[in-house]
Amino acid sequence: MQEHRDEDRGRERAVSAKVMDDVGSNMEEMIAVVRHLEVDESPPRLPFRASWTLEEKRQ
Amino acid sequence: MTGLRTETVPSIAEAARRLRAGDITAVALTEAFLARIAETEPAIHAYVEVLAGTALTDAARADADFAAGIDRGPLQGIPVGVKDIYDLAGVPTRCGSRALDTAAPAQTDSEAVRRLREGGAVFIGKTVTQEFAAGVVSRPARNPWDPTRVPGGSSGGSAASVAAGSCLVGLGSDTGGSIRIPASVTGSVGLKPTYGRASKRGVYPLSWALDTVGPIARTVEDAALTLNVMAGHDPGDPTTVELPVSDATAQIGRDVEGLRIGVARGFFSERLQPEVASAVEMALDVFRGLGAEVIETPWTNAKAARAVAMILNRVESASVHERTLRESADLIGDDLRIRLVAGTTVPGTDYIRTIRAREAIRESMAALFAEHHIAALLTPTLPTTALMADDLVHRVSDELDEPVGMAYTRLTQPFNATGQPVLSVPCGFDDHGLPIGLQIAGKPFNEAELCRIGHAYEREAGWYQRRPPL
Repeated sequence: MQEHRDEDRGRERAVSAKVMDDVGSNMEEMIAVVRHLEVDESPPRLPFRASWTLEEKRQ
Repeated sequence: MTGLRTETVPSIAEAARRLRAGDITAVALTEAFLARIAETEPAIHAYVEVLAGTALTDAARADADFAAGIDRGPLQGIPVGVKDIYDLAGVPTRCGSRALDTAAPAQTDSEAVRRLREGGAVFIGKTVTQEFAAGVVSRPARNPWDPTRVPGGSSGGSAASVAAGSCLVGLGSDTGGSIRIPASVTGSVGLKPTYGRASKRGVYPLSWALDTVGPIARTVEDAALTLNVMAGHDPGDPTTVELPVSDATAQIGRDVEGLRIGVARGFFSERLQPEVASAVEMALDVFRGLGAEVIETPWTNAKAARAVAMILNRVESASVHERTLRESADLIGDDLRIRLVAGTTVPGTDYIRTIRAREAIRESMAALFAEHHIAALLTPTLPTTALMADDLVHRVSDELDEPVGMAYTRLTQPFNATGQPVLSVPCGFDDHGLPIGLQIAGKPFNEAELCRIGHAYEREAGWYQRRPPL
Protein backbone atom coordinates (compact mmCIF):
# COMPACT_ATOMS: atom_id res chain seq x y z
CA MET A 1 0.00 0.00 0.00
CA GLN A 2 2.81 2.40 0.94
CA GLU A 3 4.54 1.64 -2.34
CA HIS A 4 1.36 2.48 -4.24
CA ARG A 5 0.99 5.69 -2.23
CA ASP A 6 4.54 6.75 -3.13
CA GLU A 7 3.77 6.11 -6.79
CA ASP A 8 0.63 8.17 -6.35
CA ARG A 9 2.49 11.07 -4.84
CA GLY A 10 4.96 11.15 -7.71
CA ARG A 11 2.20 11.06 -10.24
CA GLU A 12 0.17 13.66 -8.39
CA ARG A 13 3.04 16.11 -8.42
CA ALA A 14 3.41 15.61 -12.15
CA VAL A 15 -0.24 16.35 -12.84
CA SER A 16 -0.91 18.97 -10.18
CA ALA A 17 -0.24 21.93 -12.43
CA LYS A 18 -2.78 20.65 -14.92
CA VAL A 19 -5.30 19.86 -12.21
CA MET A 20 -4.86 23.33 -10.76
CA ASP A 21 -5.63 24.91 -14.12
CA ASP A 22 -8.63 22.65 -14.68
CA VAL A 23 -10.09 23.08 -11.21
CA GLY A 24 -9.60 26.83 -11.26
CA SER A 25 -11.26 27.33 -14.62
CA ASN A 26 -14.08 24.93 -13.76
CA MET A 27 -14.84 26.74 -10.54
CA GLU A 28 -14.97 30.06 -12.32
CA GLU A 29 -17.29 28.59 -14.92
CA MET A 30 -19.57 27.00 -12.31
CA ILE A 31 -19.78 30.18 -10.24
CA ALA A 32 -20.66 32.13 -13.38
CA VAL A 33 -23.46 29.64 -14.12
CA VAL A 34 -24.91 29.99 -10.62
CA ARG A 35 -24.68 33.78 -10.67
CA HIS A 36 -26.82 33.79 -13.79
CA LEU A 37 -29.51 31.55 -12.34
CA GLU A 38 -32.77 33.07 -11.33
CA VAL A 39 -33.19 32.40 -7.63
CA ASP A 40 -35.47 33.63 -4.92
CA GLU A 41 -33.54 36.64 -3.62
CA SER A 42 -36.02 37.60 -0.93
CA PRO A 43 -34.79 37.35 2.67
CA PRO A 44 -34.82 33.68 3.59
CA ARG A 45 -37.29 32.39 6.15
CA LEU A 46 -35.93 30.88 9.31
CA PRO A 47 -34.88 28.24 10.06
CA PHE A 48 -32.68 28.26 6.97
CA ARG A 49 -30.77 25.04 6.45
CA ALA A 50 -28.29 23.75 3.94
CA SER A 51 -29.83 20.32 4.00
CA TRP A 52 -33.30 19.30 2.87
CA THR A 53 -35.75 16.59 3.58
CA LEU A 54 -39.06 15.62 2.14
CA GLU A 55 -40.66 16.74 5.37
CA GLU A 56 -39.32 20.24 4.93
CA LYS A 57 -40.76 20.25 1.45
CA ARG A 58 -44.15 19.24 2.79
CA GLN A 59 -44.09 22.02 5.34
CA MET B 1 -11.89 -25.43 3.16
CA THR B 2 -14.97 -26.87 1.48
CA GLY B 3 -14.06 -26.37 -2.16
CA LEU B 4 -17.04 -24.06 -2.73
CA ARG B 5 -16.37 -21.79 -5.75
CA THR B 6 -17.69 -18.24 -5.68
CA GLU B 7 -18.94 -18.40 -9.27
CA THR B 8 -21.54 -20.94 -8.15
CA VAL B 9 -22.98 -18.29 -5.82
CA PRO B 10 -23.47 -15.38 -8.22
CA SER B 11 -25.81 -13.23 -6.16
CA ILE B 12 -27.04 -12.42 -2.68
CA ALA B 13 -30.44 -13.79 -3.60
CA GLU B 14 -28.94 -17.14 -4.65
CA ALA B 15 -26.60 -17.32 -1.64
CA ALA B 16 -29.48 -16.54 0.71
CA ARG B 17 -31.54 -19.32 -0.86
CA ARG B 18 -28.72 -21.87 -0.56
CA LEU B 19 -27.88 -20.84 3.01
CA ARG B 20 -31.46 -21.43 4.04
CA ALA B 21 -31.64 -24.71 2.17
CA GLY B 22 -28.64 -25.91 4.17
CA ASP B 23 -26.79 -26.44 0.92
CA ILE B 24 -23.90 -24.17 2.01
CA THR B 25 -22.81 -22.57 5.28
CA ALA B 26 -21.84 -18.97 5.91
CA VAL B 27 -18.37 -20.12 6.96
CA ALA B 28 -17.89 -22.03 3.70
CA LEU B 29 -19.16 -19.06 1.75
CA THR B 30 -16.81 -16.70 3.55
CA GLU B 31 -13.85 -19.05 3.04
CA ALA B 32 -14.66 -19.17 -0.66
CA PHE B 33 -14.71 -15.38 -0.93
CA LEU B 34 -11.50 -15.07 1.09
CA ALA B 35 -9.89 -17.50 -1.36
CA ARG B 36 -11.18 -15.42 -4.25
CA ILE B 37 -9.70 -12.30 -2.65
CA ALA B 38 -6.33 -14.05 -2.41
CA GLU B 39 -6.65 -15.02 -6.08
CA THR B 40 -7.60 -11.60 -7.42
CA GLU B 41 -5.91 -9.06 -5.15
CA PRO B 42 -2.46 -9.24 -6.74
CA ALA B 43 -4.00 -7.75 -9.89
CA ILE B 44 -6.98 -5.77 -8.53
CA HIS B 45 -5.91 -4.23 -5.18
CA ALA B 46 -9.52 -3.67 -4.15
CA TYR B 47 -8.85 -4.00 -0.40
CA VAL B 48 -7.06 -1.81 2.09
CA GLU B 49 -7.40 -4.53 4.70
CA VAL B 50 -8.85 -8.03 4.52
CA LEU B 51 -10.59 -9.02 7.75
CA ALA B 52 -10.31 -12.80 7.49
CA GLY B 53 -10.39 -13.50 11.22
CA THR B 54 -13.38 -11.37 12.16
CA ALA B 55 -15.19 -12.30 8.95
CA LEU B 56 -15.02 -15.97 9.85
CA THR B 57 -16.29 -15.11 13.34
CA ASP B 58 -19.18 -13.14 11.78
CA ALA B 59 -19.89 -16.13 9.53
CA ALA B 60 -19.83 -18.63 12.39
CA ARG B 61 -22.32 -16.43 14.25
CA ALA B 62 -24.57 -16.38 11.18
CA ASP B 63 -24.41 -20.17 10.97
CA ALA B 64 -25.19 -20.50 14.68
CA ASP B 65 -28.22 -18.26 14.19
CA PHE B 66 -29.41 -20.35 11.25
CA ALA B 67 -29.00 -23.49 13.35
CA ALA B 68 -31.03 -21.88 16.15
CA GLY B 69 -33.77 -20.92 13.72
CA ILE B 70 -32.91 -17.22 13.87
CA ASP B 71 -33.27 -15.53 10.49
CA ARG B 72 -32.03 -11.95 10.42
CA GLY B 73 -32.92 -11.40 6.78
CA PRO B 74 -31.34 -11.78 3.35
CA LEU B 75 -27.92 -10.36 4.31
CA GLN B 76 -27.33 -13.02 6.98
CA GLY B 77 -24.05 -14.77 6.17
CA ILE B 78 -23.36 -12.59 3.10
CA PRO B 79 -19.77 -11.31 2.55
CA VAL B 80 -19.75 -7.50 2.33
CA GLY B 81 -16.88 -5.17 1.37
CA VAL B 82 -16.90 -1.90 3.31
CA LYS B 83 -15.57 1.30 1.73
CA ASP B 84 -12.84 2.67 3.98
CA ILE B 85 -14.77 5.80 4.91
CA TYR B 86 -17.37 3.81 6.91
CA ASP B 87 -16.54 3.20 10.56
CA LEU B 88 -16.33 -0.50 11.34
CA ALA B 89 -15.75 -1.12 15.06
CA GLY B 90 -12.24 -2.32 15.81
CA VAL B 91 -10.77 -1.27 12.45
CA PRO B 92 -9.20 2.11 11.61
CA THR B 93 -11.03 4.29 9.08
CA ARG B 94 -8.19 5.69 6.98
CA CYS B 95 -10.13 7.20 4.07
CA GLY B 96 -7.24 6.52 1.70
CA SER B 97 -5.32 9.45 3.16
CA ARG B 98 -1.95 9.93 4.78
CA ALA B 99 -3.69 12.33 7.12
CA LEU B 100 -5.33 9.28 8.77
CA ASP B 101 -2.48 6.78 8.49
CA THR B 102 -2.23 6.50 12.26
CA ALA B 103 -5.97 6.58 12.95
CA ALA B 104 -7.04 4.51 15.95
CA PRO B 105 -9.53 1.70 15.39
CA ALA B 106 -13.12 2.92 15.24
CA GLN B 107 -14.88 2.55 18.57
CA THR B 108 -18.31 1.92 17.12
CA ASP B 109 -19.91 0.93 13.85
CA SER B 110 -21.27 3.50 11.45
CA GLU B 111 -25.07 3.31 11.41
CA ALA B 112 -25.17 1.54 8.04
CA VAL B 113 -22.67 -1.06 9.25
CA ARG B 114 -24.57 -1.44 12.52
CA ARG B 115 -27.77 -2.19 10.64
CA LEU B 116 -26.01 -4.67 8.39
CA ARG B 117 -24.34 -6.34 11.37
CA GLU B 118 -27.72 -6.67 13.01
CA GLY B 119 -28.86 -8.24 9.74
CA GLY B 120 -26.15 -10.88 10.06
CA ALA B 121 -23.76 -9.59 7.36
CA VAL B 122 -20.14 -10.76 7.19
CA PHE B 123 -17.63 -7.91 6.85
CA ILE B 124 -14.90 -9.34 4.70
CA GLY B 125 -12.67 -6.26 4.44
CA LYS B 126 -12.23 -2.51 4.00
CA THR B 127 -12.14 -1.45 0.36
CA VAL B 128 -10.04 1.16 -1.37
CA THR B 129 -11.39 4.68 -1.73
CA GLN B 130 -10.03 7.72 -3.47
CA GLU B 131 -8.67 10.04 -0.79
CA PHE B 132 -11.59 11.18 1.42
CA ALA B 133 -14.03 9.96 -1.23
CA ALA B 134 -13.12 12.88 -3.47
CA GLY B 135 -12.21 11.71 -6.95
CA VAL B 136 -12.85 9.08 -9.58
CA VAL B 137 -9.72 6.95 -9.89
CA SER B 138 -9.29 5.00 -6.59
CA ARG B 139 -5.64 4.07 -6.83
CA PRO B 140 -4.24 1.50 -6.39
CA ALA B 141 -7.42 -0.44 -7.22
CA ARG B 142 -7.72 -1.62 -10.80
CA ASN B 143 -10.53 -2.65 -13.11
CA PRO B 144 -11.19 -6.42 -13.30
CA TRP B 145 -12.19 -6.11 -16.96
CA ASP B 146 -8.72 -4.77 -17.77
CA PRO B 147 -6.28 -4.24 -14.92
CA THR B 148 -4.45 -1.53 -16.85
CA ARG B 149 -7.59 0.59 -16.37
CA VAL B 150 -9.23 2.34 -13.44
CA PRO B 151 -12.26 0.99 -11.56
CA GLY B 152 -13.69 4.50 -11.22
CA GLY B 153 -14.28 6.20 -7.91
CA SER B 154 -14.45 7.10 -5.32
CA SER B 155 -15.98 3.74 -4.30
CA GLY B 156 -13.58 2.01 -6.71
CA GLY B 157 -12.44 -0.74 -4.35
CA SER B 158 -15.99 -1.85 -3.60
CA ALA B 159 -16.91 -1.92 -7.30
CA ALA B 160 -13.71 -3.70 -8.30
CA SER B 161 -14.31 -6.36 -5.65
CA VAL B 162 -17.91 -6.91 -6.73
CA ALA B 163 -16.85 -7.20 -10.37
CA ALA B 164 -13.94 -9.51 -9.51
CA GLY B 165 -16.31 -11.71 -7.53
CA SER B 166 -14.42 -11.24 -4.27
CA CYS B 167 -17.48 -10.04 -2.34
CA LEU B 168 -21.22 -10.18 -3.02
CA VAL B 169 -21.91 -6.52 -2.29
CA GLY B 170 -19.77 -3.47 -1.59
CA LEU B 171 -20.73 -0.38 0.35
CA GLY B 172 -20.21 2.93 -1.42
CA SER B 173 -20.95 6.60 -1.06
CA ASP B 174 -22.10 9.04 -3.72
CA THR B 175 -21.57 12.80 -3.55
CA GLY B 176 -20.96 13.48 -7.25
CA GLY B 177 -21.35 10.00 -8.70
CA SER B 178 -19.04 7.85 -6.56
CA ILE B 179 -21.39 4.85 -6.50
CA ARG B 180 -22.57 5.10 -10.11
CA ILE B 181 -19.23 5.87 -11.76
CA PRO B 182 -17.37 2.77 -10.50
CA ALA B 183 -20.49 0.65 -11.05
CA SER B 184 -20.58 1.80 -14.68
CA VAL B 185 -16.94 1.10 -15.52
CA THR B 186 -16.89 -2.28 -13.75
CA GLY B 187 -20.15 -3.62 -15.20
CA SER B 188 -21.82 -3.61 -11.77
CA VAL B 189 -25.09 -2.19 -10.43
CA GLY B 190 -24.84 0.97 -8.33
CA LEU B 191 -27.77 2.32 -6.35
CA LYS B 192 -27.59 5.88 -5.07
CA PRO B 193 -30.65 6.15 -2.85
CA THR B 194 -32.65 9.31 -2.32
CA TYR B 195 -30.78 11.87 -0.21
CA GLY B 196 -31.99 11.26 3.35
CA ARG B 197 -32.97 7.62 2.82
CA ALA B 198 -30.00 6.06 4.65
CA SER B 199 -27.94 7.28 7.56
CA LYS B 200 -24.47 8.74 7.04
CA ARG B 201 -23.59 8.67 10.72
CA GLY B 202 -20.09 7.26 11.15
CA VAL B 203 -19.25 7.73 7.47
CA TYR B 204 -16.56 10.33 6.81
CA PRO B 205 -18.28 13.33 5.21
CA LEU B 206 -17.33 15.00 1.96
CA SER B 207 -20.26 17.37 1.39
CA TRP B 208 -23.12 16.97 3.86
CA ALA B 209 -25.74 18.51 1.59
CA LEU B 210 -24.99 15.92 -1.10
CA ASP B 211 -23.53 12.80 0.54
CA THR B 212 -25.50 9.58 0.19
CA VAL B 213 -24.57 6.01 1.10
CA GLY B 214 -25.63 2.93 -0.82
CA PRO B 215 -24.66 -0.43 -2.30
CA ILE B 216 -22.75 -1.63 -5.35
CA ALA B 217 -23.83 -5.14 -6.31
CA ARG B 218 -24.07 -7.56 -9.20
CA THR B 219 -27.80 -7.27 -9.71
CA VAL B 220 -30.55 -4.76 -9.08
CA GLU B 221 -32.26 -7.16 -6.71
CA ASP B 222 -29.08 -7.52 -4.64
CA ALA B 223 -28.69 -3.74 -4.45
CA ALA B 224 -32.31 -3.41 -3.35
CA LEU B 225 -31.95 -6.14 -0.71
CA THR B 226 -28.91 -4.37 0.73
CA LEU B 227 -30.54 -0.94 0.69
CA ASN B 228 -33.50 -2.37 2.60
CA VAL B 229 -31.16 -3.16 5.48
CA MET B 230 -29.27 0.15 5.33
CA ALA B 231 -32.27 2.45 4.92
CA GLY B 232 -34.29 4.24 7.55
CA HIS B 233 -34.48 7.24 9.81
CA ASP B 234 -31.63 7.75 12.26
CA PRO B 235 -31.99 10.38 14.98
CA GLY B 236 -28.19 10.65 14.86
CA ASP B 237 -28.29 11.86 11.26
CA PRO B 238 -30.68 14.80 10.99
CA THR B 239 -30.68 14.62 7.19
CA THR B 240 -32.47 11.26 7.28
CA VAL B 241 -36.20 11.40 6.78
CA GLU B 242 -38.80 10.17 9.22
CA LEU B 243 -40.72 8.17 6.69
CA PRO B 244 -41.49 4.46 6.86
CA VAL B 245 -38.94 2.56 4.78
CA SER B 246 -40.64 1.08 1.77
CA ASP B 247 -39.36 -2.27 0.54
CA ALA B 248 -37.04 -1.54 -2.41
CA THR B 249 -37.68 -5.06 -3.73
CA ALA B 250 -41.47 -4.72 -3.54
CA GLN B 251 -41.98 -4.21 -7.28
CA ILE B 252 -39.13 -6.38 -8.58
CA GLY B 253 -40.49 -8.87 -11.06
CA ARG B 254 -43.31 -6.62 -12.21
CA ASP B 255 -43.16 -5.65 -15.86
CA VAL B 256 -42.84 -2.13 -17.20
CA GLU B 257 -45.55 -2.32 -19.85
CA GLY B 258 -47.33 0.99 -20.14
CA LEU B 259 -44.83 2.91 -18.00
CA ARG B 260 -43.59 6.16 -19.48
CA ILE B 261 -39.81 6.42 -19.54
CA GLY B 262 -38.17 9.77 -20.29
CA VAL B 263 -34.96 10.21 -22.24
CA ALA B 264 -32.85 13.26 -21.51
CA ARG B 265 -30.66 14.28 -24.42
CA GLY B 266 -29.01 17.66 -24.96
CA PHE B 267 -26.54 17.97 -22.06
CA PHE B 268 -26.63 14.20 -21.59
CA SER B 269 -25.83 13.32 -25.19
CA GLU B 270 -22.90 15.67 -25.73
CA ARG B 271 -19.35 14.40 -26.16
CA LEU B 272 -20.15 10.70 -25.80
CA GLN B 273 -17.92 7.84 -26.85
CA PRO B 274 -19.80 6.47 -29.90
CA GLU B 275 -20.26 3.01 -28.38
CA VAL B 276 -21.83 4.60 -25.30
CA ALA B 277 -24.34 6.48 -27.44
CA SER B 278 -25.29 3.39 -29.40
CA ALA B 279 -25.55 1.20 -26.27
CA VAL B 280 -28.01 3.66 -24.75
CA GLU B 281 -30.06 3.70 -27.95
CA MET B 282 -30.17 -0.10 -27.81
CA ALA B 283 -31.32 0.11 -24.19
CA LEU B 284 -34.19 2.35 -25.28
CA ASP B 285 -35.19 -0.33 -27.78
CA VAL B 286 -35.19 -2.90 -24.98
CA PHE B 287 -37.59 -0.72 -23.00
CA ARG B 288 -39.82 -0.30 -26.07
CA GLY B 289 -39.74 -4.06 -26.54
CA LEU B 290 -40.90 -4.46 -22.93
CA GLY B 291 -43.92 -2.29 -23.69
CA ALA B 292 -42.72 0.92 -22.03
CA GLU B 293 -43.48 4.21 -23.72
CA VAL B 294 -40.14 5.94 -24.33
CA ILE B 295 -40.49 9.69 -24.76
CA GLU B 296 -38.12 12.60 -25.22
CA THR B 297 -37.99 14.76 -22.09
CA PRO B 298 -35.31 17.43 -22.36
CA TRP B 299 -34.19 18.86 -19.03
CA THR B 300 -32.75 22.29 -19.58
CA ASN B 301 -31.38 22.67 -16.03
CA ALA B 302 -28.78 19.91 -16.22
CA LYS B 303 -25.80 22.24 -16.57
CA ALA B 304 -27.06 24.45 -13.75
CA ALA B 305 -27.68 21.39 -11.59
CA ARG B 306 -24.11 20.32 -12.13
CA ALA B 307 -22.82 23.75 -11.20
CA VAL B 308 -24.90 23.71 -8.02
CA ALA B 309 -23.62 20.28 -7.02
CA MET B 310 -20.02 21.17 -7.77
CA ILE B 311 -20.06 24.38 -5.74
CA LEU B 312 -21.75 22.72 -2.75
CA ASN B 313 -19.23 19.90 -2.98
CA ARG B 314 -16.16 22.15 -3.18
CA VAL B 315 -17.19 24.56 -0.43
CA GLU B 316 -18.41 21.96 2.04
CA SER B 317 -15.42 19.65 1.51
CA ALA B 318 -13.13 22.64 2.09
CA SER B 319 -14.99 23.25 5.33
CA VAL B 320 -14.73 19.58 6.37
CA HIS B 321 -10.96 19.65 5.88
CA GLU B 322 -10.32 23.25 6.90
CA ARG B 323 -8.20 22.40 9.93
CA THR B 324 -6.04 19.84 8.13
CA LEU B 325 -5.63 22.27 5.26
CA ARG B 326 -4.44 24.94 7.69
CA GLU B 327 -2.24 22.84 9.94
CA SER B 328 -0.91 19.92 7.89
CA ALA B 329 -1.80 20.41 4.26
CA ASP B 330 1.16 18.30 3.14
CA LEU B 331 -0.68 15.23 4.43
CA ILE B 332 -3.38 15.73 1.80
CA GLY B 333 -2.61 14.59 -1.73
CA ASP B 334 -2.00 17.32 -4.32
CA ASP B 335 -5.08 16.46 -6.33
CA LEU B 336 -7.48 16.83 -3.41
CA ARG B 337 -5.67 19.77 -1.85
CA ILE B 338 -6.09 21.82 -5.00
CA ARG B 339 -9.83 21.13 -5.01
CA LEU B 340 -10.13 22.04 -1.34
CA VAL B 341 -8.25 25.29 -1.87
CA ALA B 342 -10.61 26.05 -4.76
CA GLY B 343 -13.51 25.59 -2.36
CA THR B 344 -12.10 28.19 0.03
CA THR B 345 -12.18 30.82 -2.71
CA VAL B 346 -15.96 30.75 -3.25
CA PRO B 347 -17.63 33.83 -1.73
CA GLY B 348 -20.19 33.09 0.98
CA THR B 349 -22.91 34.84 -0.99
CA ASP B 350 -22.32 32.50 -3.92
CA TYR B 351 -22.58 29.50 -1.61
CA ILE B 352 -25.91 30.75 -0.26
CA ARG B 353 -27.11 31.55 -3.77
CA THR B 354 -26.22 27.99 -4.72
CA ILE B 355 -28.29 26.57 -1.86
CA ARG B 356 -31.24 28.64 -2.97
CA ALA B 357 -30.74 27.71 -6.61
CA ARG B 358 -30.82 24.08 -5.62
CA GLU B 359 -34.44 24.42 -4.61
CA ALA B 360 -35.34 25.62 -8.09
CA ILE B 361 -33.33 22.78 -9.64
CA ARG B 362 -35.19 20.19 -7.58
CA GLU B 363 -38.51 21.71 -8.45
CA SER B 364 -37.68 21.70 -12.15
CA MET B 365 -36.91 17.98 -11.99
CA ALA B 366 -40.14 17.29 -10.13
CA ALA B 367 -42.01 19.32 -12.75
CA LEU B 368 -40.37 17.33 -15.56
CA PHE B 369 -41.61 14.05 -14.05
CA ALA B 370 -45.07 15.45 -13.39
CA GLU B 371 -45.54 17.17 -16.75
CA HIS B 372 -44.56 14.12 -18.79
CA HIS B 373 -45.98 11.55 -16.34
CA ILE B 374 -42.71 9.65 -16.46
CA ALA B 375 -41.61 6.97 -13.99
CA ALA B 376 -37.91 7.36 -14.74
CA LEU B 377 -35.40 9.37 -16.72
CA LEU B 378 -32.66 7.64 -18.73
CA THR B 379 -29.18 8.91 -19.60
CA PRO B 380 -25.78 7.32 -20.03
CA THR B 381 -24.02 7.02 -16.65
CA LEU B 382 -20.72 8.17 -18.12
CA PRO B 383 -19.66 9.66 -21.44
CA THR B 384 -16.95 7.01 -21.74
CA THR B 385 -15.83 3.60 -20.50
CA ALA B 386 -12.89 2.82 -18.18
CA LEU B 387 -9.86 4.97 -18.88
CA MET B 388 -6.25 3.89 -18.56
CA ALA B 389 -4.76 4.25 -15.08
CA ASP B 390 -2.40 6.99 -16.25
CA ASP B 391 -4.89 8.93 -18.36
CA LEU B 392 -5.21 12.55 -17.29
CA VAL B 393 -7.91 13.37 -19.80
CA HIS B 394 -10.76 11.81 -21.69
CA ARG B 395 -9.94 12.40 -25.37
CA VAL B 396 -13.26 13.54 -26.77
CA SER B 397 -11.82 14.23 -30.22
CA ASP B 398 -8.51 15.19 -31.80
CA GLU B 399 -9.25 18.78 -30.86
CA LEU B 400 -10.85 18.34 -27.46
CA ASP B 401 -9.66 16.82 -24.18
CA GLU B 402 -11.68 16.75 -20.97
CA PRO B 403 -10.06 16.17 -17.54
CA VAL B 404 -10.93 12.70 -16.25
CA GLY B 405 -12.69 13.97 -13.13
CA MET B 406 -14.83 16.37 -15.12
CA ALA B 407 -15.70 13.76 -17.74
CA TYR B 408 -16.63 11.07 -15.23
CA THR B 409 -18.86 13.30 -13.10
CA ARG B 410 -20.44 15.23 -15.98
CA LEU B 411 -23.60 13.12 -16.26
CA THR B 412 -23.88 11.89 -12.67
CA GLN B 413 -23.40 15.08 -10.67
CA PRO B 414 -26.64 16.82 -11.72
CA PHE B 415 -28.59 14.14 -9.83
CA ASN B 416 -26.75 14.89 -6.61
CA ALA B 417 -28.26 18.37 -6.82
CA THR B 418 -31.76 16.96 -7.33
CA GLY B 419 -31.28 14.33 -4.60
CA GLN B 420 -33.50 11.76 -6.33
CA PRO B 421 -32.60 8.02 -6.38
CA VAL B 422 -30.51 6.80 -9.30
CA LEU B 423 -29.36 3.41 -10.57
CA SER B 424 -26.50 2.56 -12.88
CA VAL B 425 -26.95 -0.78 -14.64
CA PRO B 426 -24.75 -2.43 -17.29
CA CYS B 427 -26.05 -1.78 -20.84
CA GLY B 428 -23.35 -3.12 -23.13
CA PHE B 429 -19.65 -3.18 -23.92
CA ASP B 430 -17.34 -1.10 -26.08
CA ASP B 431 -14.92 -2.35 -28.74
CA HIS B 432 -12.30 -3.07 -26.05
CA GLY B 433 -14.73 -5.25 -24.12
CA LEU B 434 -15.23 -2.62 -21.41
CA PRO B 435 -18.64 -2.20 -19.71
CA ILE B 436 -21.02 0.70 -20.41
CA GLY B 437 -23.52 1.96 -17.85
CA LEU B 438 -27.12 3.14 -18.20
CA GLN B 439 -28.24 5.72 -15.65
CA ILE B 440 -31.87 5.47 -14.50
CA ALA B 441 -33.14 8.31 -12.30
CA GLY B 442 -36.34 7.76 -10.35
CA LYS B 443 -38.75 9.63 -8.11
CA PRO B 444 -37.67 10.71 -4.61
CA PHE B 445 -38.20 7.98 -2.01
CA ASN B 446 -39.57 5.61 -4.64
CA GLU B 447 -36.64 3.22 -4.87
CA ALA B 448 -39.15 0.38 -5.31
CA GLU B 449 -40.34 1.62 -8.71
CA LEU B 450 -36.78 2.51 -9.74
CA CYS B 451 -35.59 -1.01 -8.92
CA ARG B 452 -38.56 -2.50 -10.77
CA ILE B 453 -37.53 -0.59 -13.91
CA GLY B 454 -33.84 -1.42 -13.51
CA HIS B 455 -34.54 -5.08 -12.85
CA ALA B 456 -36.89 -5.42 -15.84
CA TYR B 457 -34.23 -3.96 -18.12
CA GLU B 458 -31.41 -5.99 -16.57
CA ARG B 459 -33.23 -9.30 -17.03
CA GLU B 460 -34.28 -8.57 -20.60
CA ALA B 461 -30.90 -7.21 -21.74
CA GLY B 462 -28.87 -9.83 -19.89
CA TRP B 463 -25.58 -7.89 -19.71
CA TYR B 464 -25.29 -8.53 -15.98
CA GLN B 465 -24.47 -12.16 -16.66
CA ARG B 466 -21.14 -11.34 -18.29
CA ARG B 467 -18.19 -11.63 -15.95
CA PRO B 468 -14.65 -10.31 -16.38
CA PRO B 469 -12.04 -12.79 -17.66
CA LEU B 470 -10.15 -12.80 -14.39
